[in-house]
Amino acid sequence: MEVLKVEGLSKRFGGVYSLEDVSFSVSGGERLAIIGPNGAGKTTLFNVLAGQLSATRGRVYLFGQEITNIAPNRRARLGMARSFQISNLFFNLTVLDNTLLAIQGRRARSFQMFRSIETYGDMFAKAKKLLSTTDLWEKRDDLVRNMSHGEQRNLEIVLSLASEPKVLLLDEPTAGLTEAESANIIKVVSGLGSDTTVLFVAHDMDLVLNVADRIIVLHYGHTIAEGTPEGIQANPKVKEVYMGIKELAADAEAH
Amino acid sequence: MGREPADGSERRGLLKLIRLVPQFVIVLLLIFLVPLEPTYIQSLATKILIFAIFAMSLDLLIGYAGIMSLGHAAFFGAAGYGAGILAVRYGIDNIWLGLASGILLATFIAAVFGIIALQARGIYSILITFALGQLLYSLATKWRSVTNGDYGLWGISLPALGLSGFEWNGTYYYYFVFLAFLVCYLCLYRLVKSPFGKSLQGIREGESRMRALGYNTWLFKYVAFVIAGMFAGVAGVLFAYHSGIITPGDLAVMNSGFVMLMVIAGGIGTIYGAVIGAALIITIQYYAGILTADRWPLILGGVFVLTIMYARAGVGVYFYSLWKRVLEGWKF
Repeated sequence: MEVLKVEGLSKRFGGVYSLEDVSFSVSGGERLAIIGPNGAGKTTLFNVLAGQLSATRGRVYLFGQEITNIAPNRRARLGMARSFQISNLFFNLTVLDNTLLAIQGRRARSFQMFRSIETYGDMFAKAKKLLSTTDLWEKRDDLVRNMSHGEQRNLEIVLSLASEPKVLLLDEPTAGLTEAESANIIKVVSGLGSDTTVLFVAHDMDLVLNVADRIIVLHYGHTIAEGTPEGIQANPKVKEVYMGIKELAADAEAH
Repeated sequence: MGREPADGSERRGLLKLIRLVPQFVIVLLLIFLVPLEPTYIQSLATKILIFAIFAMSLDLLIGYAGIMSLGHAAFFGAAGYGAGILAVRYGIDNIWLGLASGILLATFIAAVFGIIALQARGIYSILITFALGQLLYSLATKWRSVTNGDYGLWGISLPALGLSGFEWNGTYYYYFVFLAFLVCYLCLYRLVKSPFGKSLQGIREGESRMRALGYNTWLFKYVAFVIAGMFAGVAGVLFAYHSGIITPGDLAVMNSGFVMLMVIAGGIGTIYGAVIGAALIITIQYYAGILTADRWPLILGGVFVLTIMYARAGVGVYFYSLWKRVLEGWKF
């Protein structure tokens, strides 16, 4: 079943196309990695998919419904969730409050005004379960701004998982983490059931090769290759982009 | 990190109770000591409690939803005018009707202003709240047949409570305001701990994340804006009855700045800080006014500078953390 479909998607900033005519589709339960050199348009693609940026051209469909121009909160309600490359957390709230807010996001309960948020047993239990997967439960009363980078990255993943998304977009989930921390993230992501479709941006080849079923390579806003991890590793064009960025740039200037 | 020992929950409960001691003491003083004081002290305490309600309502906006407003006095003043006009122009002698109509008017105006002010963000949103507030200010000065213009609408006497044989005096009105204050405090205190209140704090901390999590953040801010306007309305009506007069100045930017000063001085985003701030500023205004007549703003400014220098989180927060340190010293 086709979960997400992208048709001719373009995003222009001033005179520069950050994404140009990108098309692909993702089927249910798939793990799709988006890779490419810096500035390839990976994060822009995620921002357009999740609604933080609007598309210049093209369409995005989620479960067959067009979502190109709807607000991010409505996309979230349709089952989409994302993590951010630069931790986008509630820094002056506790770890537990961050998690409870993420769990509560898709519930009508958010408008409850007369009962303490911490008295909802079901949400509390869920927060405990989520935070325990990344060793954050012991730190639940700490303010996020006092936590280490690695812990903040873990919480970033926890927040994106909390709504039990059907489509999860992870933007560089392991960036800046130690090997052990990365391994834990890889474990959490691989442990997701097949009812969750995962798209992720990564530079970390451990993550890509361990988790991805399929890889899309972006370069200057274009899709230059698409295929299985083995196929992509053998693809000469991809090698050129990764190994010879300088030569390619010189080549482009000469034209 | 100091996790609690095995019997931690019991100790935690006890600690929680002991932590509440200052609040109990303040409430007991307000109930038993203030009415024994001379009339002018009772009147001062009444005014403090009224402005405490006003400041708490603004703290919900600034401290929790992260919305700055320089037009918050519009709701306070409009509610005062609503109750005043009912009493003076129509002679309606019922405090409940006065309260209801004043609060409804403030809520309605907040519902309209909120739609406009929340179209913009940050500094632009502040400017819109300022402009809308001044709009009401000029309406109050120009619509003389109803508002009595610059002279202010005077002669607002306390309407009947609806009990036979009951006559108002300063002490009774003080108790009335005290009860209203308690209700408002408890409502707002519960509100900020609730899922809704936490959502507001999430929006303050990171609106884009909240949207990505599925929250219609605009609606949350709007509801908070209207609720804040409603509570400001409660304070406005009580103020009109307390002072017997409502003037255009009560809904102007000066008054908005005055209440913002209370919130900042007491401690933003704490609710109780707004109460401490109101007590501090109103007391200083009163005694400085006696000392130097028209130079009290100078003294107020000095206090403000001192607060920023030595208790930046706010005086209320400063005392609260002192008290917490005392508790820790007792090794609970």
